[in-house]
Parts: sequence; structure tokens; C-alpha cells
Amino acid sequence: MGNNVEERVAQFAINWQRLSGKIMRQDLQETLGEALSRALEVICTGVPEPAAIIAWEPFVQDLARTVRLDCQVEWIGRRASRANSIAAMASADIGINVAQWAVADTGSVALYVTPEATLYPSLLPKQHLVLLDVADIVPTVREGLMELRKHLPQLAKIITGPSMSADIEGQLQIGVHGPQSVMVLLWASDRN
Amino acid sequence: MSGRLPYDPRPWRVRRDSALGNSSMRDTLQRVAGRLSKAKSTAYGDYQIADKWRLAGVAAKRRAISQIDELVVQVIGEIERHGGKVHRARDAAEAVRCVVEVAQKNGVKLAVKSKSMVTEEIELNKGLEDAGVQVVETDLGEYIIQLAHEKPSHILAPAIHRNRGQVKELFDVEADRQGMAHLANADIEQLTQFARQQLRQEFLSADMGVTGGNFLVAETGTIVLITNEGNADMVTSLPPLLVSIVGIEKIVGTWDDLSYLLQQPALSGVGQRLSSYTTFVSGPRDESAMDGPDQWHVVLLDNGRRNLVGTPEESILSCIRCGACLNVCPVFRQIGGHAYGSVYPGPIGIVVSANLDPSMPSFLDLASQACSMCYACSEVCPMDIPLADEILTLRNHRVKTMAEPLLVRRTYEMWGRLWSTKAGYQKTIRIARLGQRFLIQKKKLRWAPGLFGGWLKTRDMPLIPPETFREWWAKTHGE
Ligand code: SF4
Repeated sequence: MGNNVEERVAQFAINWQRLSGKIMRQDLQETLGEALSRALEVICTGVPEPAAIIAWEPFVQDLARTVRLDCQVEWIGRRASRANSIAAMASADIGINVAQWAVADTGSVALYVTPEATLYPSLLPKQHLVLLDVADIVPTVREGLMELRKHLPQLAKIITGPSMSADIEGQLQIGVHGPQSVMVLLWASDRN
Repeated sequence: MSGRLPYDPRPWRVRRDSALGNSSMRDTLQRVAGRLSKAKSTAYGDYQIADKWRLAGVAAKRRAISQIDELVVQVIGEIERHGGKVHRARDAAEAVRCVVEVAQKNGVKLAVKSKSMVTEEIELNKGLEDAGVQVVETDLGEYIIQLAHEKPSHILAPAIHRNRGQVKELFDVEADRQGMAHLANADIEQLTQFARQQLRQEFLSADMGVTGGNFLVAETGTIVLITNEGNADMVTSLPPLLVSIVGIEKIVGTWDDLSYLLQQPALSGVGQRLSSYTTFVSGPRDESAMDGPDQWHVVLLDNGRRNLVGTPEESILSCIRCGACLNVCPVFRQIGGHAYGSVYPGPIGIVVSANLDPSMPSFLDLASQACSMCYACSEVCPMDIPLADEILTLRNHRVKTMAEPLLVRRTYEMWGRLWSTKAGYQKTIRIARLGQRFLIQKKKLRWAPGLFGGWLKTRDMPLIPPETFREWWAKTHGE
């Protein structure tokens, strides 16, 4: 399988970047927390300090504790009520999600709503960072959809590039309602 | 039962001339439509499975139409099993009434909408506004035309007829209304960010979200929305109440069917393998989850669709609204969407409008007025809908029902009779040669009386020569 994964990673990277997505990869000698720190350091350069970062999913929250950054940050997590949580996320600068799966030949990542995960980090802030385990990259949309069919959450989405529009004079604009910039951080879990 | 569609009461001449006079629209349209058409061919060209899947998708859509009654029953069962509520609407009026009732029952004051052609078809905004609900369009293009009180002019790029200066004027009025400063200039990026800020507040405070649907999967009761801006994700995840209005022809049987079709709208419409956001709604929010509505209502609209099932026209129900036929149409590229006088423009607009609502003569007229029979639309349609043949069928229907003015009919009849024989053809050439003597200006035919005048309004014709090839041949070689 090893080779196959690398092929998918390469194909995913080409297609993701073609849509102006950014990509980083965990180095062999670094922990995921260190890789995440490196990625956030890059994203934070475009954001006023302190950068408000959404870490919602338990997996991301655990990682966040190990993150060391030069810039000042404020972590946003679950609040007392749903409305407060949404308000906090709406004013965040950066959102983080964990991808359910990704598609090599379209350069897409899929997110589900679950009791632990929300889609708001991918929608409300201007910067979005997705953690993607290379083992979760499937070759085509069809395999991804079969995966989605098994779980079928109330709400799910496939993201293929940043939010954009060509509605004024046909000129492409990035960051209309959703994120202006999207980054994938590739890492390899023990499953690999 | 046939449907009812809104129409522009202005006569064709007026609609056409006003479009042709809008040079900034024509420039943008030429550029954008040309770019999209090219992007489409490249996208399929270097993506081998795309065309195989497209064919599987065509088969899936055709199959769904033939099983539509069973699929409607199945999809209702699935949606309701997941906690959604389905309403069936036979026509536009019923659909609007249903949405208004849901809104009123829940005390809705502000509704946010993502782009949906079917809500234009039923004129939902008007219905909701009449009932005291404020409706905000959140797709950038739709937001612009809502401020301008206009209708979309392209199914993918609704504000394509307006340039940045005109957009700024609209936003300035909006800024005045809210006591804000005007934008410094008509920079497209600034205009986009202005809309982002304005609409962000609406998303967060709206009581109801309204969407259409690109696909509705019977097997799972899932609505699929394909967008680029992210507004549909706001609409489906933030407000406490969500209403999705979907024509019954959007139903596909299985998840497997969906997997073949999912990429086709983006591939054919904009030449991308997928749009930025593909959103799947399969039920209202679970207590334990953050995102999604507390209530989800789905309105299944007929409005003349069911009537077409089992007729030779049923393939037009396979349309995935990709816009490829608009982008490639030489008439659409010149006149844009408004001139059609229907919410559905372009080649598909001609066939859909006239078939869904046969009571409207101006829709039927489009088959003759807004088509050059070049067949580019049929060639480009990813769902293999024989668009040009359908337009021809409508033309036939016009002739059979004597919808043409008498003078036009008689002229064509006579022309047809004469040109069907060699002698008749030669006779018309001789008559025309005599006749043109009175019309020659600077060695060309530049005008003509009556019916023929239109031909020469924008082009000159070469003269019929003193001796035609046939006459020369007869003289030198014998008959
Ligand atoms: S008729 Fe065909 S080309 Fe035209 S919008 Fe529909 S699917 Fe696209």
C-alpha cells in the first residue's frame, strides 16, 4: 500500500494547490503538535495578534495543548451555550478541522457534523486549516461518497478550494462568505 | 397539470433591443461565456473517468424520471424518517403558500436564501415579502440583483449584466440606508468584502434559511447543494429553521447514481472537477450537534414537471442546470438572459419554459426568435438532452397551432413552394434581380421593404449577378 499512498498524496497535493490551497506536511522527525505549530506560524503571519483560533474537536484540543507559537493566540472552544459558541467562532481568525477523508483526483477534503465536530471552523473564519491523515486520501469522489454513505450525518460537506465568486464582471474573487485561504496539514497516523 | 411560470410582459422587440443596447453586459458575457465553454472542454479532456461517469449519470437521470412516482414516495419516507417534514406542491402558488405558512407558524421575520432557480420560478421572495417576511439573497450575484430589483440574467452568474460601477452605485444606496460611508472606489475586491460584511450579520440573525437543491437522493433522503461562495453552508447550518424547495425532477434513485452525477455540474458549468462546496443535508440538527436547523422542511414542487413524464419531451427533466448550453449559444451570448422574458434563459430556458407552461405564447415564440438552429447546445449538454431538436419541435408546434402571424405564414409557405422546384427557384432569382434594381445603394443591397427589411438592418447583401452560374452554364454548355 505504501507506494499507493504516496501517489495519492502527490495527486491530492497537485489538485489542492491548483485551486490555490496551501499544503504542509509533517516531517519524519517532528511530532504532529510541532507540525501544527509550524503550520499555524505561517497562517498567523497574516492575522493581527492575538490570533483567535478555533480548536473544537477533542483531537484538535489535545494537540493545541502541545502547540508552541511565537505569536500570541487565543484558543476558542466550546462555550456554555450553543449561541455563545457560534458567536465566539464567528469572530475567530482561524478555524481547524480534522478531515474525514480527502479525494486525490479532485483535491477535496470532507468534513462531517458529529457530536464532537462542527463545520463552523471551516466556514466562519477567514483562514481554515485541515488536518489530513494521508491514509484517508481516496482516489476518487466515488470512494469518498461510499464512505459518507456509511455514516450519513445530518450535515456534511466536501470542500474543494477556498470560498470564491466570479459574480462581478466575471472576475474571480476569493473569500466571499467562507475562508479566503485554506491549508491542509498532511500527517501520517499509526494506521499508515 | 401544467405549470405557471413568471414572464416579462414586454414584447420581444423591446426585450431584445434593450439587451443589445447594453454593451457592458455584452462584453462581459462574451468573455465569461467564452471562458467557461473553453474550461469545460479542457476539464473533460484531461479527466478520463469524467465522461464515463457522465454517461452513467445520464442513464441514472433518465431512469429516475421514468420511476418518478415511486421515487417521490420513497424520498418522502426517507426524509421523514430522519426528522424532516415534506410538503408536496402541485404548482407555484401552492409551494409559496406552504413556505409562507411554515414561516408564519414560526414567527419568521428574516429569511436568508442561497441561490435557487426554482424559487425564482415560483417567485418566492414576493410571496414571503407580502407576508411580512424580509428575504435576503446571499449569493453575491443574487444580492446585487436583489438590490437592483432585477431578475437573474444567467443561471450561474445572475448579475453578469452589471459592471462594477453599477454595482458600486447599488452598494452606495445600501450604505446610505445604514448610515455607513461609501466605498472609496469600485474595486471588485472591496465590493465583495462589502457584501461579505453586510451578509454576515444577516446569516447570524436570520430566523429561516431557504435553499434549492441540485440533487435529492431518494434512497437516503439527502439534498445536495453545489456552490462556490459558502453562503449555502451558512444558510443550512445557522438559522433554526430550514426550508429546501426542490423540483421533483431533481430526485435521483440511489447514492450510487449520485456518485456519477455529483461532479457533472461543476465540470460542465465552470470546468472544475468540483465546486468549492458540496453540501449534504440529510436531516435536522441532532441535539448533540452544533450545526444545522432545528426544523427541516422540504417542498417538492411539480409545476408542470410530472406532466412531461412519458412524453417525447421528458428528457428535458434531466437538466442539471449547469449552464453549458447558455455559454455556447450564439444568441444567448449576444442578448443575455433578460431578453428571454422567462426565469429560465438560453436553449434550456426555451424548452423548459414552453413545456412547463404551455399557456404562455411568448415562451413558445422564443423557439423561433432566440435560436439559430446551430445545434451547439445539443452537442455540449452533459445530460445528452436533444435541445435543438426540442426547439425544432416547438417551432413545428407553433406552425401547427398557427401561432405565427398570417403574413409571415403565407410568406414562408410561398417561399417553401417556390424553392422546392428548380423552376420555382430560378423564377425567384429572376424576380429578385428585377426587384433589386430599385434598392441598390453603393453596389450592395442595404435595405428592403416589409418582412425582408429585418434581414438587412444589420447586414448588407451582395447583389444577384446579371448572370448566375446556372444561366452561364446553360448558355455555354446547354441545359
Ligand atoms: S440543458 Fe444540458 S447544457 Fe443546458 S443547463 Fe441543462 S444540463 Fe446543462
